[in-house]
Amino acid sequence: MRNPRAKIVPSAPSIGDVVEVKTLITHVMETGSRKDRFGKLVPRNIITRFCAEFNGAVVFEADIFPGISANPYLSFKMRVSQPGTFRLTWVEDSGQEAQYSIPLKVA
Amino acid sequence: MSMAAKFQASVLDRRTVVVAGARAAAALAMFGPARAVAAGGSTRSKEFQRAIRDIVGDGEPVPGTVDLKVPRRFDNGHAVPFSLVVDAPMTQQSHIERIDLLSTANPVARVATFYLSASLGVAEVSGRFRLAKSQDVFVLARRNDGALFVAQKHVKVTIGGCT
Repeated sequence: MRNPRAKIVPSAPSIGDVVEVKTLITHVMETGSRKDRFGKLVPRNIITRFCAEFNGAVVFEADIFPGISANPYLSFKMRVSQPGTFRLTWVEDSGQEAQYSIPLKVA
Repeated sequence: MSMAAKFQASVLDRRTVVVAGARAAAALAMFGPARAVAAGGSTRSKEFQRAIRDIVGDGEPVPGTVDLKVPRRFDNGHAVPFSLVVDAPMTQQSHIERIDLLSTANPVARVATFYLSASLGVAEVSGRFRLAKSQDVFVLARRNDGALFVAQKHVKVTIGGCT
């Protein structure tokens, strides 16, 4: 799990506009049902949870299962009511977390 | 499985076979694909049937309001784009609070569950998911008053994604 990143589109919205928060992280998302070339099951290692906070309040969360692709891309939309900061958190099976913060600037 | 759960499961199974009462009939008509196959066989995995029951409970999902945007045909089952769009108000009084994406033929039926806050103002989520083979895909959206909305699409994949 590395390189968490995000982008807000459009980057300079006005109050009342809808923005899309696009997030991406590098992760193998190993399902646990795949066998290696010796016929041994590869242990599961997936991101199980994603959380987005805006100015300290949780606005969007996801429970994630093995059906989500490797290097998970997730996006959600929000109507802009004020400027602020998104704090994004990804949690994998091991309990390890990755975080990324991105400001929402208002034109 | 507890006695209570067993009882409930048997009631559900019977309900899909014996259409007793208008309520069951309506549920079957509206949600036929999921309920009707619960009795066995077909292309819906046991996992999927269990997941649907867990999420739906006593509710009666109605088609519409939620839209599942997926390609009809896609080359690579490892990363199929999806977009879940709910056409409903997002206010403190009335908002979509949960959206489930389900596969009918993957080893794990639940793909993702999204929890939304009314402060988002809109209910729209996108991502990429895996499909082990060509199959039907379901989306279920729950409003804060418990109302359920459902949409279903078939996706053909050329190369199945190893899930």
